[in-house]
Amino acid sequence: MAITERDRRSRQKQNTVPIDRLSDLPDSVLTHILSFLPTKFSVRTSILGQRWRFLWAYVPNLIFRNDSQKSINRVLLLRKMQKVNTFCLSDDDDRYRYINRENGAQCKKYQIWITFAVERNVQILHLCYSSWRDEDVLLGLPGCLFTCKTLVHLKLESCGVIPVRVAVCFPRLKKLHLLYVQYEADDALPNLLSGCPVLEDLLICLYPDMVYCNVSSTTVKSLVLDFISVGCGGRADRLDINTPSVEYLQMSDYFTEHIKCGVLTSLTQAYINFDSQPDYHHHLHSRSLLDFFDTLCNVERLNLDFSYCPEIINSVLSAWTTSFRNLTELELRCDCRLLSKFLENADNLEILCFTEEPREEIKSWKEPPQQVPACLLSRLRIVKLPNIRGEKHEFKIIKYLLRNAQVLERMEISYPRSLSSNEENNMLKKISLFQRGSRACKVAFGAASPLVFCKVR
Amino acid sequence: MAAETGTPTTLTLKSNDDELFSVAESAAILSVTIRNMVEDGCAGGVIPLDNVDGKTLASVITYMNGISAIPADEEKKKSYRDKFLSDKDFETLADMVLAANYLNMSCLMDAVSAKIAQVMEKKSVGWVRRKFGIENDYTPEEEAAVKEEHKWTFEGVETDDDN
Repeated sequence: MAITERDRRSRQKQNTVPIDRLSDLPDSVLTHILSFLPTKFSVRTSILGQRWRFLWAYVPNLIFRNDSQKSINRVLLLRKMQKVNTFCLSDDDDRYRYINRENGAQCKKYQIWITFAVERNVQILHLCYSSWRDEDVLLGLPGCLFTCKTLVHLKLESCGVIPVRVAVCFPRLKKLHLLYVQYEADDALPNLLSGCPVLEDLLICLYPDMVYCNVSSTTVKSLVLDFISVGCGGRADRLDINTPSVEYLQMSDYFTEHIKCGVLTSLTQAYINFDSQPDYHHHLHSRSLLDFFDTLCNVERLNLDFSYCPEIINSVLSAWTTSFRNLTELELRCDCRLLSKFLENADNLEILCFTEEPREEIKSWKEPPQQVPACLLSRLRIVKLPNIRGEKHEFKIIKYLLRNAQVLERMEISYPRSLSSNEENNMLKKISLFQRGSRACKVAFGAASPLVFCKVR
Repeated sequence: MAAETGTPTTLTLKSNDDELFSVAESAAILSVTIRNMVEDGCAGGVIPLDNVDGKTLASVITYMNGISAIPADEEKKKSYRDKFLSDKDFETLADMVLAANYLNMSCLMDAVSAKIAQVMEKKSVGWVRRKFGIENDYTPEEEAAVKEEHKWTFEGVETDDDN
């Protein structure tokens, strides 16, 4: 991108003519700017002036949103750039979808467009269709897609069927996002993953259901599995996770004893949200849930939400002693028995956020037995309690933490807005009288912003 | 680069209006242009940057320092970039894209280009022509022909307003 002599001269004048700058940019910079626009808008810039008339044709990215087949074909014919860097095709507007579906040749069209991009060394390919409810989901993907050597990022949303007997070779694929795609058979997913030797980022939102979901990759660092997302969650009767290099794990699922996870030695961050399903085996469930937690034991930041999960039975929980020695930040939504377990087992915990999901049968807070846990003596700095309703056992928790946390800097207590000012005052009075183990500790007390409680599910 | 002892870790950059700036070498080499000069051994004294004025260079250096202080975390880098660009007006963005292009800083170039594209997308033809300093050199007939040729891109667009 050489700067010409003309550019240099105009730069010297620029203080007097401040507006004339961008017109001196080289074409390569202008097409770079245009490459961030949806194709429809970059084509529209041809109206600006002679110089702009064909600039759009040299933009390496093709981004189509709700554009008609005719328009897409026109662009592909008229563009002058040989390669395609990014190819995005999304269709999230019902009106356009209707127009688009005039004939049975639809599927063939997609195949031609995808092939067009693959043949031009596409690096980023996004296909997003909101029409997942329809037979459009069954859209065939051309075989050449699965051996695209240049592809770095592939996102398929609500479209396409992953075939089971296809040669997969994605030597450069780093990012793979599969949202609501279909699998010809359960083996299609492991087959696909086996062809991705450098994959780092994998996201799977499941719909429809699967019998056996096998997520195996030795290279994946970031793994997101969402099986219960709003409205269209799919279920896997059996889920096996074998991803030894994972550093970031995010999981939303119905917990069953059929979830198995291999070692995660590199794990640093985990966000786990388990929901319950109606038929579960109590004892089996508790054991396998804790077995699953064991695989997270190296984590540094952990967010656990199993407020909608059936409780873990007492005898199984009391025998659980797994140490979380790297854990420094913990956010828990569960019943309070697990809170004392984590205080006991996370010696280096610095920041704790605890939201109790009250269950009638287990409201009793039991202090960790014997000596005060190590994290309270030397690590725990911040405690957040975002949903304190003024119940007896809650005061016991607050009292215990304030008394025993020797280096606590701050405790934030929030209560529901529905509390009367009288109840509020009583709570405040009571808490302010509690003995504090840390002189430096400040207690913040206030009505919670409604957002805290409006957890979107 | 800085392997020899005595190699300065701070560089002095000079803008085209003769302002001098000190910047850590580790931050400055985000610019491939500067990195090449350092590697070629031209960074002993003052590095002149003929295509960047003082105001823009100060801004670019703020960015260099800010982004290089963030460890390898793409999310955090992205939110820093978003915040950094959030209060910049179109003229500043125009200066930044020129500077990023000259300094060969791909991450800043991408972020600023995306921001300019985002601003352009919502604006009328008249606004873009004015801000880009584009002279409309079409005859009315030619302009009508171009519009007809890419009719589908003008669906639902009002082109005459100045906003």
